[in-house]
Amino acid sequence: MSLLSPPMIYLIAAAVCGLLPARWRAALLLAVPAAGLVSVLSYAPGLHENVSVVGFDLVFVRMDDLARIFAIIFSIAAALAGLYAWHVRDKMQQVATLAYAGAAIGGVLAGDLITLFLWWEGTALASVFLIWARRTPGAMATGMRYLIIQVLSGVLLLAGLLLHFHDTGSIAFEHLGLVSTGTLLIFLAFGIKCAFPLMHNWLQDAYPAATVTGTVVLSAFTTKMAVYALARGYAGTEILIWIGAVMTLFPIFFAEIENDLRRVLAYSLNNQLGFMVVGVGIGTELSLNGTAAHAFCHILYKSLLFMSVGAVLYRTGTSKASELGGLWKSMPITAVCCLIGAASISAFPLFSGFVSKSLILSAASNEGHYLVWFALLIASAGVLSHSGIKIPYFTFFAEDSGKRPAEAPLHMRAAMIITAFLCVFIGVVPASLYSLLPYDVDYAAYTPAHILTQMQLLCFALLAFVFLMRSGLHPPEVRAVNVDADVVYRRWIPALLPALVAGVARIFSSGQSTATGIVARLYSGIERVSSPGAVLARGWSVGSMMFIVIIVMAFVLFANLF
Amino acid sequence: MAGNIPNKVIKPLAITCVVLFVLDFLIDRHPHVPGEGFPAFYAICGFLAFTLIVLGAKQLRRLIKQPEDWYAPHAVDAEVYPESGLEKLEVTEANKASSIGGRTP
Repeated sequence: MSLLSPPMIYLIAAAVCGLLPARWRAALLLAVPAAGLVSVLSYAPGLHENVSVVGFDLVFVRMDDLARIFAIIFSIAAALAGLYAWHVRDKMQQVATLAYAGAAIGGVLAGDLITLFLWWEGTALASVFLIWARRTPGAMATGMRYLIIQVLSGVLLLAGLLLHFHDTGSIAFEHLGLVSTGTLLIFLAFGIKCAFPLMHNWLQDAYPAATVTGTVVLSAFTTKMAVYALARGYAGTEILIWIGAVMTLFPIFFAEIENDLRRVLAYSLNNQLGFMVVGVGIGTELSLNGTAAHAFCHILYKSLLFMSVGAVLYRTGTSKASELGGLWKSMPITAVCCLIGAASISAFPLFSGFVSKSLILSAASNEGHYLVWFALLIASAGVLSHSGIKIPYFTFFAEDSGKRPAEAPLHMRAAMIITAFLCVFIGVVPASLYSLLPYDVDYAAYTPAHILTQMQLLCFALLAFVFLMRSGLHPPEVRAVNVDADVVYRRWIPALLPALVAGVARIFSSGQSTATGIVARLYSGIERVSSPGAVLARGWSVGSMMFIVIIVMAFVLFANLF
Repeated sequence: MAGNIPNKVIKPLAITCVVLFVLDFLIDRHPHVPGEGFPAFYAICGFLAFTLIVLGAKQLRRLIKQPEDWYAPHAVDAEVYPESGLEKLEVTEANKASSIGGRTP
């Protein structure tokens, strides 16, 4: 494989990064994504970097329109995160960031399932260091949970690809569909990384536990690599429409009452993935364009939101809504950037979410999925509630916390301003994004009807917020954790485990004593009948032996009659 | 915390909502989902969805709320973020100029 292929550039940089002085390492985090982007753009459509290993033809770079848009946005996200992390001197985080971004780009360029598996596990191994880099007992434990689940996803992918190879004799990563056990296992592997309902907890558990800059990096790659993999392998798989619809709805409620704003954003990320998964499930050109476009916009505005909350954490030491408020007075630039991120995710006209999310909603209504369309509409109002209002309002406005943190450092502000600019630019000039999409776009985002309906939805939702705040019905921000489905493996199973172990041990020991008792009785019985003078040790006369032989022979003769 | 949204924010919002409501009858929305053509469909959806989500979440909190250290020490919820990864800085008169200027001490 060429050393100048995008993933190799990152991996080589990650390998030498640790040997360089601190400033150089920070510069490397900016230079490598730029070089990687140039490399991505230099490939013509088709299969490149083919390597034959023990009879398998691996394809390290498969370039087409779907792979290209993901590789481009991953490169941009890596560069922006690199700028945001300019102050970081921690080698572990810098090496991990490079390796992680490289693995994710390798994943979306992989042309076969074995290559995909290698990068798939690569993202898991590299990214966990961004959580461990916090270096607290809680972060260590959280990282371990994260790693176990991520590696499990990789193991499922490996098992699935082996079965799939056994069935079809092919390792090509093309459309798979849910047609066999193998493809089902691969589907589940993708589902874990894509945070399907009940497979989602690793996301909300791990992302808030990473470092200030680590969370920004984490938010961009793993889940969107999974969205890409679903779009490649399972476009048009109907169950994805329903999975996606559930994903857009249930995280809203958890986000609404969560106190840690970085966990609110993690729930919100889950909800945004839902829109993309619906797009994959519908599987038309319009909906797949919507998924790609929404992933592109989402990576930018989600990074921006994580950056702004990260800047607040960096300056105040907390990202909890109950401890914050009124920060716009001393952090006005961060506040404005956060508001732009909030407007983008809420899909206000002139912001990026408006031109991407609507592709998916239009595809849903065009195909007659009215119930799903309605769910996405409700979810859009929900996005406004936690990401559009809660994040900026309870951080920068609301009740004054009395905190007067200084504005974010220059490089963080630069990263946020560039990201915010991109969010607005895409919103104002949607053609710039549409030209990158996998299929031709015949879609006008800015029609009077679309602007009116979206503004009605959002403004009346804002009105509801004012009403709820005024009437005191809006739940206050309180210090607490909210229990999600991960309670099963974080509390219940560990709590039941000692009793379970004791029960198994008891059954084992009673079984053992019963068995030894039986053996002992058998042994003493044998001993009894074979001791001197007992039945088996007695001398037998020839006459009685002959008698026994005759009986046996008569029995054999009798048996042979039938 | 309730009710501290200033009137200078509420007034423009209320006016915008009224204008949007009126425009609903002037602009053809080209509805093609059943029910979408109902007058002010999107306005009603926005208001009701938001209200029900917030009130629903409030009920959910009663079921699932636990103390912050419930998962401790295996979670970061009750931990303090390590100082080594932060650069806490308060704005005071002395450093106001430098912090706005972007330099950090």
